[in-house]
Parts: sequence; C-alpha cells; structure tokens
Amino acid sequence: MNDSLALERRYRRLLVWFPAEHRREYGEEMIGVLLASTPQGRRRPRLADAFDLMTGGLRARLSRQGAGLGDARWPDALAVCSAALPVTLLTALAVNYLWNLLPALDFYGVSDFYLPALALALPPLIALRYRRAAAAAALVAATWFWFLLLRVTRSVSSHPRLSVALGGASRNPYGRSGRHGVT
Amino acid sequence: MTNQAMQEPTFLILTALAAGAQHGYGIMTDVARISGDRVRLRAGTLYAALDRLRGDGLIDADREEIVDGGSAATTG
Repeated sequence: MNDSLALERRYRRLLVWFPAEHRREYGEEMIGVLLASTPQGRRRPRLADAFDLMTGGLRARLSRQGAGLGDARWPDALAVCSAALPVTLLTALAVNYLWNLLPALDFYGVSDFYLPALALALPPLIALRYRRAAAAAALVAATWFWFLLLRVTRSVSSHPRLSVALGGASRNPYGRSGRHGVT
Repeated sequence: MTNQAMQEPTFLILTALAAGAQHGYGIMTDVARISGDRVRLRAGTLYAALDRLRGDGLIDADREEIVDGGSAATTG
C-alpha cells in the first residue's frame, strides 16, 4: 500500500515533463497505466520508464508548441534570425577588432563563438515561446559580456604596454603584427 | 516536410485502434501482441503519440471509453 503510494508520487513527479494541458487530458489515465504495468512491490519507476516519460514529455511539449517543421512560426523565427545574425556578426567583428588592439588579452575565440551562438539561439527560443529560457539566456549573455568588458577595461588601465598599443593603433591598425615573432 | 515517414510504434498504435476503440493499457498489450512481443510501448511514448495522432486528426478520444478504460487499468 505504502509502496504503491510512493510509486504513484514518483510517477506524478515525472509527469511534470509533459505540458499541463496534456496532464489534464491524460494524466490520471497515464498514472493508471503506469501503475498497472509496474510489477507489485516496486517503490521506484524503472529507469527505462522514467526516461521514456521524460522524452515523451519533451516530444509532447514540442508538438504542442507547434514546433513541427511545417509550423508557420519557423519562417518568422528564420526572418528574425537572418536580421539578427548580420548585426551580431558585425558587432562581433567590431569587438574583435577592438580586442585585437589589446594584444595581451586572449578573448578572441570567446567573442567569436558566443555572440553568433546567442544570435542563433535566442530568436527560435522566443518564437517557440520559451520566454523564460530566452530571458535566462539573455541574462547570462549580458552578465558574461559585462564581465569581459570589466576585465578588459581593468587590464587596460593596469597595463602600460596596452596604452602604448592603443595609442599606436590610431596611426597603424596593424601595428601589433610586429609582435607576432616575440615569444 | 510535414510528410514524414510513419514510425513503427505509430503504425502499431493505429493498427491496434483499427480493430476498435481501446484504452491506453489495452493499446500497450495489443501492440505487444501484434508485433509478436518485439515492440513494447511504454506509457510516455504511447501518450505522446496518442496526443500527436489526435492533433493530426487521425484518432479521436472517446471520453466514456477513456474513463472506463482508466478505471479498468487501475483496478485490473
């Protein structure tokens, strides 16, 4: 008796993977089926059943959100994406160019990778109405950006060579190329 | 590309339902029987597929059937 109550509670927790609407519609029936297909005396769902509920729930969420390939919101998301991508890439290039003037810092790969990745990820997230996930991603990106910016400005002010490099850059943007041989 | 090839579990579910309205547990045992115990559907897969098939208009929920089936599944 206690066993089956514990089992039922665990199954209910796993059903959270499904959208609320789906749970309202099928939840009780699913609990019934799950309990009926689990051998007596088990207190925990089988791992395979738990995994199946998670993936099934995610699949149900995707199809409820209308994220099928034929969905009308995909072209919208693509349009937003194609507008956002050049802007982001240009920004990334500009940031890269500026950071190239600061030879002691090696943020090159980071800026190269993260900004376009975010530009790709955010519009579909928003279009799929995962607003909370999109907001969280934006927050992480903003924090990361400010963290980098703070490190850059701090390094600039504490690094005498950098101010020289910055001063030289206005005359010759490729001024740092002479440095490559120095290791 | 809305015209995806039908997956085997989906085909088996529809085959099970073609014989007559069924509740969830009945579909699971039917699918196992039809496939000669080769395919064992789990609840998560089954109900995600049922929801999608309903969305596509391929099946319909018989409310009374589900309520009966639900109670039958828990007591039986």
